[in-house]
Amino acid sequence: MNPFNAAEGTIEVSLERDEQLLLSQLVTLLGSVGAAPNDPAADRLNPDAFLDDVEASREFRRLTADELATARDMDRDVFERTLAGKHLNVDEAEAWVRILGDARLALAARRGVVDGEWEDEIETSRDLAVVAYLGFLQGSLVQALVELEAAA
Amino acid sequence: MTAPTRVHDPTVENDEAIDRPWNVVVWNDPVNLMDYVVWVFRRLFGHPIEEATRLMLQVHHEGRAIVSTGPREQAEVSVYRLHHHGLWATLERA
Repeated sequence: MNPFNAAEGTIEVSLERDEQLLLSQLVTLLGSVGAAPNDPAADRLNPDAFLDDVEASREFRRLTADELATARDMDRDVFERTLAGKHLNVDEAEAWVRILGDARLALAARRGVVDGEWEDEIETSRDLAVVAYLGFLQGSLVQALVELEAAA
Repeated sequence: MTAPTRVHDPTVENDEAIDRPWNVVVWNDPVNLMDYVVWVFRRLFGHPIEEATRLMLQVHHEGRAIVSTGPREQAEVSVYRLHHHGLWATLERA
């Protein structure tokens, strides 16, 4: 069964208790991004906006960092508030999609993932297994959002 | 106090550096899902699914793709929103 299904203008959520428990840990994970210096997850989630212009990238970051942090805090609040629920509206689902994606990127960055070969290590690394599992959830939720939009 | 002075008349001067548009570039990464990237392109730029899929495949195979082009301010907003969605995006002069 799909974890997320579009039905009558809403998205139905079918997650087990242990799945909800694992997802609740993502709030802590994402809250820790950038808390310690030289965090690869922070670099990945806040990339340079200009490839070869350090000054312009710094200026871009200065202008957008607060707004981006606030937007992510709001996503995390929505995610936490709706985690135990059975339904998501579109706005809530979009916050979930971003949280799942950010968590995948953060975990992968801290594991030093630089290419597609990480998928060969799913059996041996718990973190990478979680990245794959969160990808399964995110894919199902994106599919449900697309179906919801098509039905509207 | 003095009256404001007009220092720049766009009808007389054509400053190419100001007028030239900016590209929003998305770079390949090994973690984001293909379906998710297509969804983000549709959601943020309103691309039809065919165009969003074409751009996603271009990112995947060529390592990067220009997903939109426009004035600098607009391009900066797009990059900000792409970063909010976890995509690796940069700005460059068109």
